[in-house]
Amino acid sequence: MNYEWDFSILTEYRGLMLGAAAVTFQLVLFSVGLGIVVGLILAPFRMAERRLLRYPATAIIEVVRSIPPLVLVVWCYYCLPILTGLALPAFWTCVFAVALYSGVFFAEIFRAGVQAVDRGLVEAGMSVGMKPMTVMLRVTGPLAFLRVLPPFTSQCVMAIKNSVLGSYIAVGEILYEGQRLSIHTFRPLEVLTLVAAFFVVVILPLTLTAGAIERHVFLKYFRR
Amino acid sequence: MNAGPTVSADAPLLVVENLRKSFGAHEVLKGVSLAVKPSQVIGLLGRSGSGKSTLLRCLNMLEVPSAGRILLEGEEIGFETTAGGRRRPLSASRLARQRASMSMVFQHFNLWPHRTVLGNVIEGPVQVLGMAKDEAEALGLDLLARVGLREKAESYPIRLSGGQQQRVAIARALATRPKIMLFDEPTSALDPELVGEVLQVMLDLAKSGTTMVVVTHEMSFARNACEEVVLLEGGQIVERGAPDYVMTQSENPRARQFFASQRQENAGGPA
Repeated sequence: MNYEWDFSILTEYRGLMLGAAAVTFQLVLFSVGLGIVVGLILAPFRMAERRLLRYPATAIIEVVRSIPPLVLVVWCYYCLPILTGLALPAFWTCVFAVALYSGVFFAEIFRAGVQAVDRGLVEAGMSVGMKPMTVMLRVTGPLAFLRVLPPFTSQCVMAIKNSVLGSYIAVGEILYEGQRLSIHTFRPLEVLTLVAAFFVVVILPLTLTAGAIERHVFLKYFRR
Repeated sequence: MNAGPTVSADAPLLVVENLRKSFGAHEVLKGVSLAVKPSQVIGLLGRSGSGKSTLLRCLNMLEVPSAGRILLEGEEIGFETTAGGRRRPLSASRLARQRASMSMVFQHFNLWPHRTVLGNVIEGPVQVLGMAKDEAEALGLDLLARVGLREKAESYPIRLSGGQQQRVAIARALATRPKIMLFDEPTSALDPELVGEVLQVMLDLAKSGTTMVVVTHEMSFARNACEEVVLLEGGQIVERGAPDYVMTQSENPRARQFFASQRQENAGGPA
């Protein structure tokens, strides 16, 4: 193994890669944000007592969850315009597909969190006269969120990494530009290493912060 | 809102009429009627499974009764009668409003772990009554002083003993200035040495004229604090009256049997 690493091309094309990184950040911001919104919308329907509300949400969750995310992105890009007549730019197609994919997982995580909240704490809210929405915002919601922080963080990490699926539909994010650059410079290993390092640098602070919050919360509220 | 019957000074504050509750095919309450006058303390006694907790939880609609009516100051709880004479459940927000005037203290305290002791107490006044935060805090500190826990105001519930948590729960229940307080076996989850402090707070409340309905196994409390005790068995009231009468003089065989077994337990006999 005597491959000669040459990272100089990365400094040479840093403008291109920085631009691609910026696109990835936008992709992540919109798709994770929107994914959480999708989860927050789907979860209450998934938990609804009425079947008319619960069944459609369950169906969406089960169907989307079983599609490989790459297939979902590519399908949205090619099939949706034919079915709906609505052609979105590749960037937004990727945002919506990744958001939908993450959203169904967020929904299941939120549902698990809400259902894990002690019924007595909810009844305590009701018995001081809180309306159902107030109970949700002041009791169930915060406690559910504290409970699901670890899986929530994991799902955020997955959603961030899924942004590279945009490369399959020519969204100029970091993997797409990286692949173009490696073909152009014949330096795929250096470029891939950079892409890998980029995600580690982005994700590690996030998981470390979440871990610290989790420990803090546990010590403060739950540990005797 | 219904005008309801006029409420005179010594009229009952709370009236329960022929209340029934079934869980599936199993009927837990088989027609229970009750009247609680202002400042009265009523003890609900009975074996586990007799329906006493279900009765209490029906009073503020944590369980929706299958039949019967509950009236607080003449206003029906949980239901309204339309102009056309149809009876229908109240909207969630109007039911919530009614619940604020009949606070509950639970067996397992149910303090919110993510709020401080003071935060637990002011939640009702601020979120439900719309009280300003500093006003609610002043009220909360007063109530905490009343249960002897003012110095714990900034602690989180997990740092408190069970007895302290239950006293905070009582302060929280008082904070919405309820017309009636419901206690659901408030000392059953406590270590024996912590029972006394909670009972003392409840005794003080009773003496200060708070209207209370208390589900309890504490016979000494029932005897000392309750004006009337009600013995339930199999979802029905089998005996009622002044504690001394019900506990020692009643001719009712089921009452005699129940209180004999209670005395045996207190004497350290078989459980």
